[in-house]
Amino acid sequence: MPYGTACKSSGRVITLSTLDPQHTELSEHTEHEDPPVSAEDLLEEVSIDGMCGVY
Amino acid sequence: MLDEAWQLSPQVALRPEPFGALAYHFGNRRLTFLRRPELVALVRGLGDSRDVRAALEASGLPAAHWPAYETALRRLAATDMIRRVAKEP
Repeated sequence: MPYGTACKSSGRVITLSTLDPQHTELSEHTEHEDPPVSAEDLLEEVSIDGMCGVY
Repeated sequence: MLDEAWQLSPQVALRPEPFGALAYHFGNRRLTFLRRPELVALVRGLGDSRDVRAALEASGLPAAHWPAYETALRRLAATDMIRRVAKEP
């Protein structure tokens, strides 16, 4: 992999510094990607009829 | 729905929970868990917005998530948790 190439894998970005090939720095940071959301993640409808008479 | 005005039904109570909120409808006795604080804020903000689109914009939610939130709102509408606001003549 040549210097200066950034790799992205599973939301991580790894970058090789090109300033000094003798002192290459490896840096890593995490990108905050929004995970997909579905209506099922947001809502849960509950029937409470079955609870009647319990108390 | 995006261009329509909606609000929380007056028959619904929202109780804050660590995961979001619990919505209870005193008329039809339905119970719904709102499982994200963002959805709770959106539902609460509906009444202050001219339409759902404005409420979504104000929420700061990523546009990619809007369809899921709109679907959730449609499901809340189907059980009268939220009601469409009649347009003034």
